[in-house]
Amino acid sequence: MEEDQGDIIGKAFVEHYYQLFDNERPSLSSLYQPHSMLTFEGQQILGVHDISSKLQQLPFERCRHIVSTVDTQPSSVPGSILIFVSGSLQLPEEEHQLRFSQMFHLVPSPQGNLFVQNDIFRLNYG
Amino acid sequence: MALPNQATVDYPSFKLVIVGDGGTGKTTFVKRHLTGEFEKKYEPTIGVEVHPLDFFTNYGKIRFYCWDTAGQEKFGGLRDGYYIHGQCAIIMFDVTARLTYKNVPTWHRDLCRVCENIPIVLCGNKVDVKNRQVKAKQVTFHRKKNLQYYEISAKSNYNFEKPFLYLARKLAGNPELHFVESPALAPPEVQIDLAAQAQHEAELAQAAAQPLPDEDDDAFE
Repeated sequence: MEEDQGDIIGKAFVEHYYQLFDNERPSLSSLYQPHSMLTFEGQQILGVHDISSKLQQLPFERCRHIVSTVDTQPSSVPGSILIFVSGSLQLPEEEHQLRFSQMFHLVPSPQGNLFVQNDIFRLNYG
Repeated sequence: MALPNQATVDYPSFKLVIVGDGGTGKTTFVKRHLTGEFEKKYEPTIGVEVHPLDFFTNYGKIRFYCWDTAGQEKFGGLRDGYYIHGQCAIIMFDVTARLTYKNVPTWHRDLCRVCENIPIVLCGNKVDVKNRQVKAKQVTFHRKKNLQYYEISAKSNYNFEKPFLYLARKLAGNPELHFVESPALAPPEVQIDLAAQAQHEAELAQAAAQPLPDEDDDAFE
C-alpha cells in the first residue's frame, strides 16, 4: 500500500519536475533546499542557489524530456522516496534525441512537503 | 574511423574529431560538404554522427570521418569514447560569443588528454557576422599551443577547405599536397564582406608578428 503511494507521488513528481524544466526552468529552485545536492554529468553542486544557476546556465532555452520509465522505492527516512528515471531528451536545433538517466531522493521538509535532497543526472552514451 | 555500419574505402581515411561549445556551428560546418551529408551515419549508443568527407588531392583522394556530437557538449565535457583513435581535430569557437573562445583551452586539454600529438586546427566561426566579440588579434591560444588558426564562416563557405588542407598536409607529412578539385558544397546562405575580412586577416598576420601577451597561460580577458 505504502509502495503504491510512493509510486503515485514519484510519478507525479517526475511529471511536475520535467514540466518545469522544459517550460519554466527558474521555477525548479522551489524544489531544492539549501543542503540539496546535484551531480550533473559528474559535476557536484551543493545548495539550491548553485543548483538553480547551474540549470539556468545550460546553453539551450527550451527542451523536451520524454520519460520512458520511472521506478520508485521508499527510503529509510520516513516519507522519503527514491526515484530513478530513464528517458530521452530533445534539444532545440538538434536532430537526434539524447538518452538520459536521473535519480531523485525526495525527503519531507519539517513543514511536511517533499523536496529534492539528492539529484544525479547523466546522459547515456558511449 | 568509420562506424561499424558505414562503408570503408580503399584510399587513406582519418578520424577527425570536432569539439567546441554548443552553438558554435560545428554541425553547420560539416553539413556544408554535400556527399558527406548524404553518407552520414548516426550511432545512438555513442551519440555521434559521422560524416565521411572526401577531398581530392594531387596524390589522390583522402577521406575525413568527421565525428560530430548530438549536443552532449551542452551538458559538460564529452566521454573519452568520442576522442579515442582521433587522428586529427578541429576545435571550434564562435567569434560572436566570447565565452566560446574562453572555453577553448578546456576543449584543447580534454582532447589532448586522449589524443596525444595529433594535428589540430582552431577555427573561429561566424566571421560573416558584423558584431564580432573576439577580434582576430585577440586570438592567441593557437600560438601558445602550436595549432593552426583559421577564420571561417560556415554559412558562406568562407575558408571551408582550409582546415582540411592543413590537416591533410600534416597527416601526409607533405607540405606540397594540395587540393585539385573542390568538393560539392551547399550554396552560401550569407555573403561575407571580403574587404572587411581581408582587414581581419591582415590584423591576424600583424598580431602573429608580435610577442605573445605576457598573461596567465590559458587566460583570456
